[in-house]
Amino acid sequence: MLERMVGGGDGERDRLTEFSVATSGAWYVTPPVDLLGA
Amino acid sequence: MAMPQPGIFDLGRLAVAELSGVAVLASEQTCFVYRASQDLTGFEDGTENPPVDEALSAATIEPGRPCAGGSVALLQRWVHDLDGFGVLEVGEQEQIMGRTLAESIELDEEVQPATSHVSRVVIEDDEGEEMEVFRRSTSFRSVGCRNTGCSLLGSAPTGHACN
Repeated sequence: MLERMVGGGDGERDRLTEFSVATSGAWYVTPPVDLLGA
Repeated sequence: MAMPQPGIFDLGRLAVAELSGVAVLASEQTCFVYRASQDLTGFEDGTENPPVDEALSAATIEPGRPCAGGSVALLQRWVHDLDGFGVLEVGEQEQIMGRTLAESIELDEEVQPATSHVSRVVIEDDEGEEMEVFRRSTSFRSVGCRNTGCSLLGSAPTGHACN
């Protein structure tokens, strides 16, 4: 999704990025609650 | 008298307390739901989400895989140029979003720009099947409009769909 928003694949960039900029972001693996309690 | 259901603030405090043995809160962004679940641009948010009865499977790792029931989450902070977007004609805004403003109807395929937001966030796997990502955005803003935007949480069974 993010790659396509910045023109990945066909070079077409999401025009919304002309008016909105990601200033931070990160990936997280969110484990299920029962695993957290293990 | 029945106790009211806990709100987001209460749940946030509970989560911080529950995780206090293994994690500390490093940063937070207070957000709100704008109007009828709209982005601050005025367009409806989350229209590409799967229906509620499919949301859990779209957002979580399927049984039998490591971390089953968990999720791969993408958290982003987007800052909007609301003034710049706001001076555009509604028709131009709709071309950028790929949906109508008033009814949130997706533009027909033959007039849907390849550069619209709708076109760019709908993704397919190698077999042409649409890959679901459950997205939820909430808004933040300051009075001066210089710190205005949304926090996005995307959840999926793998990181591939969000990449």
